[in-house]
Amino acid sequence: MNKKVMVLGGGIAGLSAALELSQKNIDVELVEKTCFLGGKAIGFTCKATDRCQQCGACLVEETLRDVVAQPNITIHLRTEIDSVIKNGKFKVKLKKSNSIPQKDEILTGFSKYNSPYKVIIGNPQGSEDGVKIDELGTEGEREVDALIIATGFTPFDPTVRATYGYKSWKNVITALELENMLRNEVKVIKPSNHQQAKKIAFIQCVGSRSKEFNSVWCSEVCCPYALRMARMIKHRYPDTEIWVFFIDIQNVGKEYSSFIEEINTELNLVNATPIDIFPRDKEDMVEVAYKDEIEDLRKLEPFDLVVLSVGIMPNEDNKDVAKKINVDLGEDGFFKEVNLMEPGLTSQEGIFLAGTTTGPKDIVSTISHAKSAVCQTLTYLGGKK
Amino acid sequence: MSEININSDVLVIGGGVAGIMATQKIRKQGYSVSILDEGEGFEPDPCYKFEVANYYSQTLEELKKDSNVTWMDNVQISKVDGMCGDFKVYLKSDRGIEKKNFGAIVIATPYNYIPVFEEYGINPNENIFSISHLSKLLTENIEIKGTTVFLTTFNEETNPVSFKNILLHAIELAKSGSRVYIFCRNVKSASFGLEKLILCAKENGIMILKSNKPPQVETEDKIAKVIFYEPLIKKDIEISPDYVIVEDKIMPNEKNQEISELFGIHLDSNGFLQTNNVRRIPVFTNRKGIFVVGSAGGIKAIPYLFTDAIDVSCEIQELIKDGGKVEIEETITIDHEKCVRCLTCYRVCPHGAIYWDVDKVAISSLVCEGCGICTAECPMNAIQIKEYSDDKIKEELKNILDFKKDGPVVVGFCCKNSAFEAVEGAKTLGIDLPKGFKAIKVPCAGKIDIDYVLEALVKGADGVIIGACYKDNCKSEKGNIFAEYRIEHLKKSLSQIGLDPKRVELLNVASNMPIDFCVKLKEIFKKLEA
Repeated sequence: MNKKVMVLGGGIAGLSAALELSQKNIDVELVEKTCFLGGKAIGFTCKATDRCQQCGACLVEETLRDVVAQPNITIHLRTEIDSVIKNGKFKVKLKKSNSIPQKDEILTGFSKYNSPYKVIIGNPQGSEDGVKIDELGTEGEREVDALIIATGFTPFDPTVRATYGYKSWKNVITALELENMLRNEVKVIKPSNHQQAKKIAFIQCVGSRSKEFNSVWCSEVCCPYALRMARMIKHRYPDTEIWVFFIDIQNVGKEYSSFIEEINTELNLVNATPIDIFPRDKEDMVEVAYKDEIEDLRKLEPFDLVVLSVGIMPNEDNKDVAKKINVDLGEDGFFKEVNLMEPGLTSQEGIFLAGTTTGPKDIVSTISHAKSAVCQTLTYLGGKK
Repeated sequence: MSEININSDVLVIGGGVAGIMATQKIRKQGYSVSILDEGEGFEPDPCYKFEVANYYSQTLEELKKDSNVTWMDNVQISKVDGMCGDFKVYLKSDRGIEKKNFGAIVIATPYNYIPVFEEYGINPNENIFSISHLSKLLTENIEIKGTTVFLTTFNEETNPVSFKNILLHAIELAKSGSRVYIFCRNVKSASFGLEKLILCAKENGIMILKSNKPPQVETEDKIAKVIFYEPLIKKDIEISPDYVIVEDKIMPNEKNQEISELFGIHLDSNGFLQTNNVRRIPVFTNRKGIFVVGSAGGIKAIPYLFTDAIDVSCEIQELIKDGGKVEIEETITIDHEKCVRCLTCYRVCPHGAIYWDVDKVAISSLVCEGCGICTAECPMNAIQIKEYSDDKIKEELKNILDFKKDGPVVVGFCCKNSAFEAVEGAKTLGIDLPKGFKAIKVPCAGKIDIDYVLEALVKGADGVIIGACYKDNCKSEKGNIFAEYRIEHLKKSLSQIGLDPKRVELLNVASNMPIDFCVKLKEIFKKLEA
């Protein structure tokens, strides 16, 4: 009989792990809490200018396509683990999650069509090929030989940083929202009046590298995604003026020395952390207040759109999941890898970690980490009688 | 079906951290490893030494006891033949030339380090030296105490690996009572645990000073004077440190160029042995069976050296399995009656799948990725991919153009890795592509023969588009470049014979961007209608 592994989380880490396992002839139970596969990365835009900028967003689409086509991967959407009993194997009790798709998650609808299900909310009749939201989800017990935790991250909630006015002012959005916008509309729209944004500010390190928010880590992905999106926008709409407020610019990609040279000519990089953001012109513009360190002056700069580069925070469910599977979290709240030299190992034999569940990673690092987790799992399964 | 032999020995090139770790993991999979180091013997890379020196020596010791690991120093590779599953490597040493066979090859060449003295116009002496020299002094327990200034690369900026190394050394000095300054343009925090280390450095009294202007360093005798602009107080500040420590710029190994030529591996623009292409991540090269790990592929932080080592061991397991004879289904064929042995295919194949077999050209179906660049470039049309033969594509073309026209018709030859996926995405998303657009799936834009395009135009298409991946995203490295070059030429020919060159266009698109593709297609239809 084939070995069976449960993968927790259907984002890029979980998808990569599931695909890799299934290709090695291991049966997979893929458990995803929300109604869709693909996680956050499935909503990311391609950031190519006239050439690929190596963001890896296209790989997510391809991995999802391949996972859905594998007969030995069983997908449980809108499902979470209730309890886990280890007795040589793992007895995992599954239950339906309370996850309800956000309205706009359906409207922008990328992942729903890519997953094998079509979810219907607010329409009790449904359509022939649709699944009613209440019917989604698995209850019951599954026995598996190993577990891979790939539950990903929770983006920093910028409403905590109240002076930035996220959710208060229409034209302040997060970089995740910009990713989705670029993917769905291929242009940058001001939410206030649906006109194209001509002057855009990116604010880096929102939630990252902060003692105040208990997040003393660099999220590693924000400089790459913000600068790549900025370059993509600039390439498509050369008239757009783009400012980037930063603490320190982090290296982007393998060929960074030419990259930094190019962004210096394309973008206006300002080494400052904005203090305050407030609207003007009936919310059609937002003013960014920052301190110009060189001139030692408080300055105001108006923008059509402000994009907050929110950081990678531990998944808010980590504590709950960690308790259920009896695995340690690190001091920051991410899952802890017990041995730096052996990626993916937890304090529990038979439970492995993949992707941003252990800390910030970009798409390609996540895929490579997930592959390592699968290798560790196979070693464990191979040695297990 | 054809039968090939898979050798289960693995060659690892490079005895640094990445090479040793990969060797350990490959041994765990049960394969014998020959490890070759052309450098200064087996030592951890200086930039990782601080963190992994113990682990490195333990692993090295463990491997030295392993009779299935062969150590080769003072050996040089003089020639490489064969391909995936059965590479023939000619090794030159004092004993002459010896041929060894390997199923897979892992390249782990360590970095090359260049201290950045020149950037500051200074010369090393007993007070001014590189960080690797400092590292050596500290290992030898030589006391370095006093005001110390660390200088990082300013012009091209440093990277998290170098920056971490600087911090670790700086903290060591600060803990033993030195006053330490680090000058940089940007603090590099983007690596596991690095932000905490920066905090730890600050708590230890280390001054990290940022500026856009590199500090000025003046030397009198052996003593340096460092002048820098402090933006907060808007003044030049002058310090006379006891030591000036200069960063080692991390560069690709100087042997990479030679290895690239020997093995047919493409370099990136810096000279690392993996092109800047997400499709090569984490350990792949353009040649099947030849992998890169850690320092050979690019500048990588410690955790990714370990994931690379594990990933490569799994890829090798997948490839070699139990070794021995394996049946391979033929996916590509050469018509030897048509072949004139011009070797165009051999030159254009990005995967090294084509070889000379006694008196004729042959293609390994194991190595072939099926991109079809060779089939389009072959002047005799002698090569056919079974799944995408000329006949099949022309048949498909005939079928889609064989109906009554209602508005402009555009044939799209769409790469299965990008444009075709975008078309499929549009269908499932319910996005309406222009009505007259007809997609034909091809394995790569490099497969699209000019003949196909002309045939489409002759058969009545108003326009033809080639849907290709963006540059640096092609699975076959150059398929999209070949397509671009062919289309450019075709456009010229079209205008010479009086046809509108706008009827043929190349569109770059990503697989996950169906809406983008739709927008681009609509623009093309608008042009054609006008």
